[in-house]
Amino acid sequence: MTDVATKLEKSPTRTTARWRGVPKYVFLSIVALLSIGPLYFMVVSATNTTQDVLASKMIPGGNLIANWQSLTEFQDVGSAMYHSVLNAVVTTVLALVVCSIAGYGFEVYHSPNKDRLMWVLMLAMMIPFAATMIPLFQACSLTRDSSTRPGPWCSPRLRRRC
Amino acid sequence: MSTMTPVALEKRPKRNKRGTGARRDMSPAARRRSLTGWAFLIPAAALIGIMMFWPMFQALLLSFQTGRGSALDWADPLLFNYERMLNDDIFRLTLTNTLLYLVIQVPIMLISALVLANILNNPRLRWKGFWRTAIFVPAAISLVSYSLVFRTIFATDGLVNDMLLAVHLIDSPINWLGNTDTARLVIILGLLWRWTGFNVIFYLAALQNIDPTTLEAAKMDGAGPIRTFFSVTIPQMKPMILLTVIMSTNGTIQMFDESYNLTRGGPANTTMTMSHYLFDVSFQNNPNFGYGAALSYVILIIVAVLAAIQMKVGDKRD
Repeated sequence: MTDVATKLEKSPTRTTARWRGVPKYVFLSIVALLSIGPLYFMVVSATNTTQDVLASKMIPGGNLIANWQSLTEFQDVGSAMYHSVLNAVVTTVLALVVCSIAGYGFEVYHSPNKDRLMWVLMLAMMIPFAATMIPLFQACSLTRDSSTRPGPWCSPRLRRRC
Repeated sequence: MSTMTPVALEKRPKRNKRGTGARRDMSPAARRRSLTGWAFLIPAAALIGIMMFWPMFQALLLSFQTGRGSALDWADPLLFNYERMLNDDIFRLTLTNTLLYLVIQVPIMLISALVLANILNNPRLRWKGFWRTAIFVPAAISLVSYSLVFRTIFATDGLVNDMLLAVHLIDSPINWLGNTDTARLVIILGLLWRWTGFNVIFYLAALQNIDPTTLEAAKMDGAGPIRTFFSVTIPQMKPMILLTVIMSTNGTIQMFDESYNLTRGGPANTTMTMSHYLFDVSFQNNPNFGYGAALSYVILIIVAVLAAIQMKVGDKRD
């Protein structure tokens, strides 16, 4: 008697339980679509002509090679990539070295004065880049000639990475 | 016969030639150890001192000077730049814009991130990796790229207008970037799109640290999911919420890329942010580094005041 009763109790909840999670998935699908939509449009537009992009075509076309050629013709892509990679690699390596040494010092050789120093350094992270931008620009323009970039040590990423 | 007695007798602080402070009571080995510890901190402290504190001090000195380019001279009333800022209409407009973005975008973004993180934290959710990747991918795009993509999408003949026309929600294309309100809306949408995923990751990490026994206790007491969310989950996430609020406020006040690349200041400077105005003053037209430095100091003061307020409020309710 009890088996039949529990079985009768179980069957309606099992079918409703299957649909209970659906609103969640619908919501997540909408959010994912909105997140990836612009990126998909960007990738697809890279393979389309200008008229297709203006017409909001969402299907990849065959213009990728032509677009790439016109890009490399008018911009120095190789140099830009080289500078980006140089910046990224050098600041990451330097940040790893400097920050792990400092972290080791703060943790293994712990003392109250070091705690205070840590709070001061953390405060430095809150300084907006705008506040230090102009003096850094003046300093970097003194140390470079007319053709090269100011150098990765002036980069704000080195400071923000720590 | 306590073994602590001999040590207690020796523990008289003496003034010896090692000086005062924590190091004077140490043996030479301990002192060497302490100095070694300080030596580990020198590269980081030196870099931050040279690259952040020294330029900040220099910027303070600069803000008391005026002049074009490198012909800088001390200002006649020393606070001339700050007085000029009080009467500057464009500065007031950019301040209004920045505060508007802050007040509208940050709460919406953080609440959405909280809700999304809570949904994603469910262990029985399927395709979790896909949802997390899809929500986080916008945060991995460079600011300039996404600003240009949004500029294209929200153009008068762009994707958004085409889609809205196709479903007959509007009759004629909306000039998104040409009107003040819609241009600000586009910037806010861009910010929401990009930074929500970033904050979802932080909240997911905080949710992993919540004790599951508290959630079970709430369920046993008969609390529904919403009640559990507000009364059990959120109080335990307070430190992370405070951190994301401070980080978002910091980032929104210093916002530059969206204002420059999406709208280029918008119709008549109505979407320009303070950092964008600072860039214009310092590097475009006739560069006036003194005024730019004064502007940057005002940004710094606003950031510092808001951060202090948020830390006070965050700690008081603990």
